[in-house]
Amino acid sequence: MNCDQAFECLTDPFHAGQPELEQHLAGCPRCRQMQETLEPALGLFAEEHHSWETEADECFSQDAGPAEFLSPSIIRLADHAALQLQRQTKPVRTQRKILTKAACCVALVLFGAAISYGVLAVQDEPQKPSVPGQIIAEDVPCLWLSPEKVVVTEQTRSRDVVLSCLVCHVGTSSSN
Amino acid sequence: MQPTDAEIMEQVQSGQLALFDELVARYRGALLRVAVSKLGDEAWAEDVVQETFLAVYAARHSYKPEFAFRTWLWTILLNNCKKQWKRSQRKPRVVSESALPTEVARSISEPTVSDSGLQGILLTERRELVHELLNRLSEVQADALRLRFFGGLQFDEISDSMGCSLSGAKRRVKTGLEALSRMLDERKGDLP
Repeated sequence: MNCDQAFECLTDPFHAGQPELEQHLAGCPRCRQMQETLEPALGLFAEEHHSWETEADECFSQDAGPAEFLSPSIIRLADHAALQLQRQTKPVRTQRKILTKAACCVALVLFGAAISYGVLAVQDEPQKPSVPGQIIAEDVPCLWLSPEKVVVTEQTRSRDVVLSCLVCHVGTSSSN
Repeated sequence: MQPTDAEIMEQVQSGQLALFDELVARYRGALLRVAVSKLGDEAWAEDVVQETFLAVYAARHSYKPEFAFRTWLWTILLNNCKKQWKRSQRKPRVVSESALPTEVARSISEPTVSDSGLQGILLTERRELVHELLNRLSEVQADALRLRFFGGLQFDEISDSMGCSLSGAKRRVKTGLEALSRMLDERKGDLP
């Protein structure tokens, strides 16, 4: 017997006081020390165990035998309880499924609403031209089409006229 | 040779319901001792044990022979006790122990031994003491001690029923016994 088995034996209310345990305790000071430490509690449980055994003996000597547990009425009761439990469990599952589906639907609706809101918000915003020439086309008149706007200065060069025209036409043709 | 628990359960599953009584006869006493110790009231404990057997019976078709019947049964009992205890905390069933210890003293399993008088009183006092001391331990320690000493479970069965390791079950029993011994040493004079 090793120390682990000795502890199991020491705390076994049904097989206490085995000769193997006594032998082990005689040769193992550590387990002897443990037995001394635990003795008050072990003694209390041993007394309790002894009193139960006495009670059980008396009960069996008084009764013809253990009472029937599964009487027909008890069986009916247990089956009824089991059926009720099944019924209770099923609706709970169904309710859970319905709730999950409803939550999914709500989430989808919210998601859709968020997307459409986002699209509308984008549409409401002033459109920023994707082609830089458009701004220039609106701001800068085409000097080729309206030559009257050409202010001839020292800085005016033919390159500016060509550029303004290009910007105007490139912007118009790309938007078309 | 007696049939094993698993064999009986298989026969119960196949419709021989009367055999369930054999399981009740095997375990009722041990379950009742643990339940009384945990709940402190014999009538209440009787109800919980009855509920436990009914639950096992109602769930008989879900039992699998590869699992230990004892572990299953003890787990159901511990869960039932916890459930009942929590329910009683919300809606007290009996007067609380701290408020009126003598009331609980009456509800704790009265010894049924025929020799009444002094021995009966001593037995009752000792049961109250055990109940009180166990309640002062942590729940896991007290449960481990109850299963070991009142239920007669092996350590592997305790570990399975309580959902802890084998060494954890041993440690709970050992530390519980140490704490209990210390408490008993402190109040040596009170022992019946």
